[in-house]
This record gives sequence, structure tokens and C-alpha cells, in this order.
Amino acid sequence: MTGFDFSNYNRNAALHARGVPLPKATSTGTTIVGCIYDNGVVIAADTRATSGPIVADKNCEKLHYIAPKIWCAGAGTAADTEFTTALISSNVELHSLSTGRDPRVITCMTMLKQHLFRYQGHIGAYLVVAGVDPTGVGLYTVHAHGSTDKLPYVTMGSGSLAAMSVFESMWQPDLDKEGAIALCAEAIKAGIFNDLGSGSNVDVCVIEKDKPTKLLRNYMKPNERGLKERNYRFPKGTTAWLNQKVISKEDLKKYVTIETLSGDDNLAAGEKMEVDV
Amino acid sequence: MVSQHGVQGVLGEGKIELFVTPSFNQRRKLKVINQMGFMLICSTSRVEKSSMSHSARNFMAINFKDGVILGADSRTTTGAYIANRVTDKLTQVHDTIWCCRSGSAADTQAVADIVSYHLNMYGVVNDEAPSTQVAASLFQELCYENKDALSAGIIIAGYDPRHGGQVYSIPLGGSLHKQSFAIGGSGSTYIYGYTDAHWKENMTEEEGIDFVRSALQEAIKWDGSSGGVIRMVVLTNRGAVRHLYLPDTNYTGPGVTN
Amino acid sequence: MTSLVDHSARETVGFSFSEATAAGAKQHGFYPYTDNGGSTLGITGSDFAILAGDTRSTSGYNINSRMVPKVFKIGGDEETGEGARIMLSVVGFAADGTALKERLDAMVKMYKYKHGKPMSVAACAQRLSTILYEKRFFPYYVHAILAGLDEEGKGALYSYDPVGSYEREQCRAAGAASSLIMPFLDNQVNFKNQYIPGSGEGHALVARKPEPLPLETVKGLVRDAFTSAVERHIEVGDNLQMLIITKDGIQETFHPLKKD
Repeated sequence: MTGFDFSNYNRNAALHARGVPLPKATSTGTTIVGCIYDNGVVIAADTRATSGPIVADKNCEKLHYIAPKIWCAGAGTAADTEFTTALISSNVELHSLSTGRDPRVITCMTMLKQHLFRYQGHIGAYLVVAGVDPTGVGLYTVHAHGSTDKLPYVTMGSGSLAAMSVFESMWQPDLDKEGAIALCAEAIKAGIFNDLGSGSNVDVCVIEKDKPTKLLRNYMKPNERGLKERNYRFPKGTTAWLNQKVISKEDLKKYVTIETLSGDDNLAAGEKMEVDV
Repeated sequence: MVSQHGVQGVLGEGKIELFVTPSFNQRRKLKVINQMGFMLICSTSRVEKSSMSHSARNFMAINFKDGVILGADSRTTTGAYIANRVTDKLTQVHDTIWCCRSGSAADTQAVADIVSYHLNMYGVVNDEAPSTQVAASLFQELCYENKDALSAGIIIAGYDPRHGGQVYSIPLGGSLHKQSFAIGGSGSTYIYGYTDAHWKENMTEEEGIDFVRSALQEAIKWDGSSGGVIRMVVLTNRGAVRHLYLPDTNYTGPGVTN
Repeated sequence: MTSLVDHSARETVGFSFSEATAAGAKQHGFYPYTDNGGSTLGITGSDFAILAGDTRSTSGYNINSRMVPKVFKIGGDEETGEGARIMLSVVGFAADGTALKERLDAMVKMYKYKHGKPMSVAACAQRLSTILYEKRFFPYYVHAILAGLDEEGKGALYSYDPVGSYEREQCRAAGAASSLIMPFLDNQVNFKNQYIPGSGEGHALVARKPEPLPLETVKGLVRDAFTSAVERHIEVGDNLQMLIITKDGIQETFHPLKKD
């Protein structure tokens, strides 16, 4: 079976024994939540990624695609949540192709728990799995060690206590779609403002029976960047340099293809990522 | 050889193994979700030895409606945080063979999943439901062979027409004990005295439910890591019947839920 | 069928060098310090000094309070701080910060009572160093900045390490986001890495000379430094407290910061 490369294991164990610390992984000290309602399920996440006390990404995506109607919210080590969900997404699709049926949430949850259990907690992925399948609505949490829970509303990550306090005081059994979205967003906001590991914006994903899944990226932006008071543009020539070489556009064309973008911000930011829903 | 994705259970050479990636064998639990809680199961009464072979052939021959009762609280904790307050720790591994899990949630869920797989396979291959003893042996094999990697305390209870109700307990090291009733989990230490004083052989179903419920109530009262609702399952020749008792009503109801 | 959970595979990894030893007995003890996060900064001008700090107090991933001032008036009225001519900012372990502030405040007041004149910033700076060094082997876990106006009326600013080493400076950032703010201050206050455009070729290029900045410019820099630190450091936020000393006295302002 394919898997991880352990060739540096011995060297790293030796270095660790000599007191060399492990490299710091980007962790999404996170708030993620999920909540079922009469006709589907909602999951939500904040968008802060941290490396120690430093904000590594102010607007990262913690909602991961598994299948068109199964999505995952990830907390823990950013790389682990990313790769684990990508791997399981791939396997879920192959499974769906080979059975000729729509994938089920419980199948995905089982694949995740067996994968994580095999790695005994070393893969630091803490996930909320949600979706709609032929059997109905599914909502689960999967911990890094491989344990799972099935509940009508769930929270995970460093902000899970703040978020759970919102659910435990405001959740009702007869929520509709709007109510579920509002409650999840409120729970994420509790994490954003009260947990230092969480911050920035609220992402929401709504998975509904007989309707296409909606990913509401930056559903709320309660932490817009303020304007700076002073101007920090330096006059040309402020930075020292020792020599310069000018390569003309014509010369450069010999080596690469050059496309000129218009001044449109959206275009300049690069192509929009397509999500298969 | 049977192999699944992820955790694999293998039956062969009289051994069942739980595959754990070799490099990670060192028992290093980073953050373990514990289901120490409390759980108790008891058999209300057992089929008399003389009637055993008899009952094996004739399902209706046993003229008293007994079997086993499993009961558990519903608290799952991560340190001081209650990760799940309505956990279902009573896990079905076959129609009328259930288990109570305590210790690491990840470990016990994995073990129960493997056993469940093997028992269902057994049922299909042999065209006959597995006995409680078979289930208990499977659990023991996994718990004993992988004792270094697991922290699991499991109680198995089941009803089969041949042996009636049976209760087995597998504590940490992986030993197997057949008992008339068993208690386990962190809360159990508080009620050894209670259960010992109130235990009677051959209780009726009603007496049995009352015994389990009162004992669990006591454990929840004294043990901080036990709490939530009381879940029960009654295993008899009529199949599995689930009960639920809520703290709102001082664990008096609603009772049967299926 | 052999088990993958074989006992031979579980033996401890052996190394070719001697240092590799099994982890020793686990040390366990009482640790009396907590890091309460937050950041402070001070900048001086020709006739003023500014001390600023955020008002968030944290422990781990939790916020203890969104309004715990880190900058204090020293030697003024007990309630209002009126009459004070010295300012102190403390960041690090908040309990030690408060204790240090109380001690310095009492000391400055005793000085005035004994000598009949207010203490100079230079004298106060030396005394603060002594107070910190007294606890050399059980230090106040703080980075302190002391500010006021010197005998010529110029802004004076002194920064300290936890055991009393100090230095007079033009500007200083301390605390959680100091590594984010200090390079900004070097560049914007002392004009480090800035050269005068067209003043020469290569090594002959002339560096931009630092000059005392006007108060309004410095206020802008302080606010920008904090709004930026808030973006990238999780322990900084909630409110910005600024204490500005001029010949007219100390003025205190609060300014909201992001609360995530």
C-alpha cells in the first residue's frame, strides 16, 4: 500500500534524542462546527491558521470537499486535515464508481477512522464529517486517534468549548435551514472572538436533500482589516542596491510566454478555483 | 485472509491480529478520549445446565423470559471536557451480542468494529448465529495479542438459544472472565459494595432493570467522570430491547425506546 | 502468519553514538510564572514621549480580560494619577508587572516625601534597574519600559530586561509582538535601510538621517504598528492604550483594536 516515507525516521529519532526539537507544523487552532436540520446539514469554520502565536493565514479554507454531498471541516495539523480528506475523497469516489451508488457519510466516516486509527494519533486530523446520502442526513466527529461520535450538533478544535456553549444554550430540535446556518455562524463567532486560536471570517457549507451543495465562502467577515493612518510607499531609489541588470520584455520572451493581464483585480489574483458540486 | 482498508482483522492460525503500523508501536497516546464512565451489565438469570441442550433445539422450550441486561452511562470526556454527553457505549456486535466499552474510545471502537465484522461473517458462513462465547473469545484475542497498544476494558454480554444469557468481562491485560454479573469503568469502584449487597440470582426482568438502573444511578452520583443518561439493552429470546432513562426525571423514564 | 506487532520490532531504537539515552525521570514542580501576552512600545520626540500597549490579557488560548492596562503613571495621585511625570509599561507576567509598578510608584512617592522634589527620570530609571536586579534569582518576569521628560525637557525612554539591564533609547517595542513591531520602528523612526534616492552609486549612497518626529506622526506610527501587530499576532488585540507626556502633563487615550 502506498503511504508515508519513513526513511528519515531513525535520523529524526536520533536528532530528537540529542535535543533537536521537531519542526513546527502549521496548526489550524480552530473552531469548526456542524448542525443538522429538518432537510439537511450545515457545517461551518473560522479561517485563521496559526504557527505558534503567529497568524500564518488570515483567510484559509477549512471546509474540505469529499464528495458532492459530503463535506468535511478540519481542525488540528493543517497538512494532515488537507491530505487525509483528499485521500479519503479519492477513495470515496473510487468506491462510488465501483458500486455504482452515491457515497454514504458513514462509509466516509469509517474510512477516516480506520485510516486515523492505523496511525495511532500521529496524523493530527480532527474532523467534522457531514453530508446527505440515500439513508438520510449524517453528521459525525472523527478524532485523530480514530474515535467517532454521532450527534445532532458538534464542535471541534481549540474553539470547540466556546462554540459548544452557543449550541448548548440555543440549539433546538426543530431547526430550519436558515436557523441552522445562523446558529452555526454564531457558534463560529463565539470561537473567533473568545479563542485566540480562531479568528477572521466565517465559512459555511450547506448540504441539503435534493439540492446542490452550497459553499458559502466568507459568509461573514466580522474582522475587516482597518485602514492604515500613514502612507508607507517609499520613493523610488530608497532601497540600496549594488548593481542592476535590466532584462527587456523582448529578451524575456525568448525563454517564457508572457501574457499581459488587465488591471482587473479579480483576474490578477489568479484563476478562481473551481469546486465540483 | 481477510483484509480491509485501515484497521485489519485477520483470522488465521488460531490468531486474530490488530494491525498497527510498526513504527508507531510504542505506546504513545497523544490525546486520548476516554470513556471511563461507568458501565454495568448483569444477567438476570441463566438457563439451567440441564435445560441447556434442550433449549438449544427448541427455542420456545425455556419458559421464563430471561437473558441479560446491559447498562451504561453516556459520558465521554477529554480531560475535564465532556466531549459527548449522550454517548451510546452499548455497542451491538451481533443481533443479541452486545458489548460495553471503557478506556480509549478509539481503541474500543476499533476492536468492536473488527469483532462485529468477524461475527457477521461467522453468521453468514455457518448459517447460524455465533454464541456469546465466540464473541468473547474474539474480543479476548484482540485485547490480549495487542495489549501493549490498547487501553480497553470491555464487557461482553449476549443471549443465544443454546446457552441463554451470558456475561464475560475482559479487563486491561486481556484476560477473559465469565461472570454472573460484571461491572467496569471508572465509576464501578464506587458500587462494588452496592452491587454485591443487592445482587440476587434469577431475578425477573423488572428486578434486573431496577438493579442495573439503581447501581448506575449510584455510580453517576459519586463518580465525576460518569454522567448523562442511562442507556440499557435487554437481550432475551425476543431479541434486543433498548431502554433510556433521563436525569430530568431522576432516571425513572421513559424506559423502552424501541 | 506472523504478527506485525512483533516484540522484536518494539525494541527501542539503538543509535551509533553515546548520547542516545532513554528519557530520564520526569521533572515535576511548581512553576510560578504565566505569560499573559500583549505588547508594548515607546517612542520619544524632541519634547514628548509616548508609551503604548494593548489591553488584552491572555493565558494560553484564552482571553482573561479585554481591558487590562499595561501602561501606568508613576508617582501621581492614587486614583487619577494626576501630577505624575513618569510613565511605566510592563509586559510579560501581569502579576509581576503590577507588583513592579506598585513598588516603583511607592518608591517615587517616598523620594518626593524625603527630598521635597520630584524624582528625575534618569534617577528613577537607575532605581528601577536596582529593583529588578534585587530579584536576580527570582526575577520579575517582565519587559519594562520607562518614559518621561529629561531635565532639558526632551523625551526620555529607558528599556529593561527582566533582571535590570537597561539602556536609554529613541524607541523600543516589547512583549509578544516585539519582533513584529521593532523592525517597523527601526525603519520608520530611525529610518534604517532607507537611503536618499539618487544621492550616489553603490556604497556611496547616502543613508537617510533620523530626525525627531512630530507628535502627530508618532501617534500615527504607534496606531499603525498596533493595527498591524493585531493582524498577525494572536495575543495582541482588543484596545490600544496610549500615554503621552508633554510639558503639560500626561494624556491618556484608548483606541479600539480588532477583537478576534
